[in-house]
Amino acid sequence: MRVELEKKAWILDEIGEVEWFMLSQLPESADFNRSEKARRRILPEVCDDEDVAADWRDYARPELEARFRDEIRVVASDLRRVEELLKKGKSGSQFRLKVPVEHAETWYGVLNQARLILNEEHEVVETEVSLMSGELVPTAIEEQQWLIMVQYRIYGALQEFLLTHLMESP
Amino acid sequence: MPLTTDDPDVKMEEKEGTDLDSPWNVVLYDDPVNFMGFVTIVLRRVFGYSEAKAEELMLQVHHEGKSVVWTGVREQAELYAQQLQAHRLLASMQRAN
Repeated sequence: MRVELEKKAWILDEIGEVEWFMLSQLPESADFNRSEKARRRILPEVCDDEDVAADWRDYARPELEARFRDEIRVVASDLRRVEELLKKGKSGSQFRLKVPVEHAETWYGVLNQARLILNEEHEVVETEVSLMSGELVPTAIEEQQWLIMVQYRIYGALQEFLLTHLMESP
Repeated sequence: MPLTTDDPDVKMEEKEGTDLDSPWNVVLYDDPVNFMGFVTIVLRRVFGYSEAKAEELMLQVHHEGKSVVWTGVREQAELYAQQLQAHRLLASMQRAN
């Protein structure tokens, strides 16, 4: 997969089938209602004070939920505009996705949300640290966990691209 | 501030510990997923901090696990906490005193 930047869009090109599968999972992976762990991380309690907590539940949290839902809808809509490219001489499909520059921050947020949820549900960071320190050997990791780690890394790489090229400081 | 009324039969009491003027801290917590550069950008955007101040706070969060990133009135603290959470940062509010 290559990422390119144009004036009005950023383009994911030469997306392989596995990468496309990971990208297509993004809206589902970022769904904060998919598990209690996901909900607790994305919409955490803000205060021990009951008065403040009640205000938060009544006003702030519903606004955050609406915002997060809207952002997932934008990304899902962008994903539906994928082009499937069958390239001569190469086996399998490749995909190309063009995303408007003005959606960059929304994409960053949804990618971030998905990584936060994946880590919360599958302890991705802990597994990676254990691998790096040698406490855990690669063969001890089940296939499903590897796939989640690959998904987590792909999302992180895209976030780094967006952060470097499209997210400006004030 | 004590609440008053001209009606002698009406007794108004200020609920202890909920006065709106007492200061609140907005606390930002470390998490292993958010990129450090992103946290710095968010601190600049939400609070209008300089790059140096935002980076100092971000590093404090990273090294110490948390940092008080702002102190002030409750309504503003709620708004700031909401803005931090809108960027998926872990933030809470605590009474400053």
